[in-house]
Amino acid sequence: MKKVYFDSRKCLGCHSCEFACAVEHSESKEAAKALLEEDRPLPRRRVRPVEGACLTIGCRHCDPAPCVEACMAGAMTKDADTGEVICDTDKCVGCWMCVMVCPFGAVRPGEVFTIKCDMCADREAGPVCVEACPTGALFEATADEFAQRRKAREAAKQAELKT
Amino acid sequence: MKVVIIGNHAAGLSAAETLRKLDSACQITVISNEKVPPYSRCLIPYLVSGEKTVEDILFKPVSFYEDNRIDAMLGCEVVRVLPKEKQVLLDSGERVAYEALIVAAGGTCSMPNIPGIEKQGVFGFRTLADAERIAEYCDGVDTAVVLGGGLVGLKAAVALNERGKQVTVAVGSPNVLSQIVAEPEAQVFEEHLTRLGIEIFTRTNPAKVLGDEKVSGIETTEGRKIEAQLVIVGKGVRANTQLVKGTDIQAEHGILIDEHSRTSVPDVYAAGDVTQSPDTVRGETWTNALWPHAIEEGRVAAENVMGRDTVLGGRTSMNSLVLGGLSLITSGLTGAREKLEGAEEITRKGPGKTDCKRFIFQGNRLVGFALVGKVDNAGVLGSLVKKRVDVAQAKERIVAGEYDFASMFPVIRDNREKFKEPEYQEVFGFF
Repeated sequence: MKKVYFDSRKCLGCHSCEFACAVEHSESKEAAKALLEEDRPLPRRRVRPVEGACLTIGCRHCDPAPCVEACMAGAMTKDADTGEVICDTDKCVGCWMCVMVCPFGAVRPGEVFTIKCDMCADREAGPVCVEACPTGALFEATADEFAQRRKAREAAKQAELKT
Repeated sequence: MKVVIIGNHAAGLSAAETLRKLDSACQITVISNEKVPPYSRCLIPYLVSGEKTVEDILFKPVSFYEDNRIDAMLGCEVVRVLPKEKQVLLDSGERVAYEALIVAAGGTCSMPNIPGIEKQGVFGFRTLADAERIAEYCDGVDTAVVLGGGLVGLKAAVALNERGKQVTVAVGSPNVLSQIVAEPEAQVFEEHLTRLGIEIFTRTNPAKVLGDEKVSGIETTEGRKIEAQLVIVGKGVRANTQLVKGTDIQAEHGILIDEHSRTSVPDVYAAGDVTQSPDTVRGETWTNALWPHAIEEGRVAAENVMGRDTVLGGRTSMNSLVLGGLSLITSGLTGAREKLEGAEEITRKGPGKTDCKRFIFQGNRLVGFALVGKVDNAGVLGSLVKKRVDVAQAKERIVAGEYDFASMFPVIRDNREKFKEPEYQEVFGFF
């Protein structure tokens, strides 16, 4: 499965991902209209400052997922094939058990049901946050690809230290 | 491998599902005294309020047993576990043999031993059958009394209130929810429930149930009479430890399990409300009858049955409750009577009328918190509690309400050794 990963060195803190996410999950899916909607669309991902840098955090689609184990309505499930953790909003009763256990604060209480990353299920082109990121700080990758990138980064860091 | 699971709720189903996932060949038998499809116990209040049907509160599809090739013996009561024979004894006299046993037998409502408790219209509130009987009895009822101001009692009270009944809650303690909150939060809830039209009497215990065949009210120990055509009892739950009585399987308030969900007898595991399990914040075993713990214990038991060496994660009490739109999340040692040596409690109210936060620190550790109103990021705090993290550098931020993941990131990074899950590594990776 592919997940969205984050490279803080490339993040400008521009909040484009956050904005695009909110718009994608609005009624109209259009920026100008989304702002005027009665239920203000909420982003599933947030950008926050940490020690002079930025951190953007959304659902990590954990395995095992605490929110899935905590969901007493059977609404939160982990797809066996894609690994995606998805909330069935028809079954969600808004008990916030998932909010109680999400270690990243990435599952939030909405007006009626839980708000979380759905990997932009309605969108053929994949997660909108990745597309909206102007610097490539957010990227989609498999766990192996991510490990490789991480290794490459470490190597580059070492090389840099030598020179 | 032949595995027998006693119980078909959160823990039992979690165990069954895990077993099947890990081994397509093992033989799984689930025995339950309830003859019902796999429903969610926590959602039965919605049947009383009338918001949902049985179909709506199914936790797994009706075809769950068939899909997972599970032999479901429903409507069968296990009366005794016979570990020496590796069998369980049913009320019919039938014996079922096992190679591994997972006891997920849950608990039973504690009914107060007072005159009249057997009258028509007095109900416990734990099973689907309880909820259906209450929903049916509700028609033609105007007044109701709920005995007990804990989670079950208050959920019942709100459900009846939503159904248009005049509800009185009789609470023995000085405050509602005294097991999980202290006075500041309890007060917010008492005011909130009163605004909904629910009457609350604290320090009030029932002496007898009034009425002829059918209940007509209760009389308190102080002689006060409260009219009620319906009584729901929410006076706690007793773990069903009688199944293992007289065996070598050790039990106190619940069946004792270790971090592998193992009991004191080989090949016998236990999970869910029937257990007394490790509590990493208290540093001893505790009867935390909680949904997420039940699911985890069921999964861990099944994984160990299958020969994997899996352990329970850091864990303690935690609760999430929404009553008439007002939310509460607690974790750790938050009860009114839980006084810790050297503990420091900090309460912050506002900005909204119903917003209230209380944090309990012991030294540099956060050992508990209760959030009323805004509950965002409760899980971030919860992980700091159950992993027993030194939060000295972040105390001020926590108290100020700044405990989103990014705000807590420096603490988490500095305590990397406690955050080994791969998901944390992903975040550490490029930071």
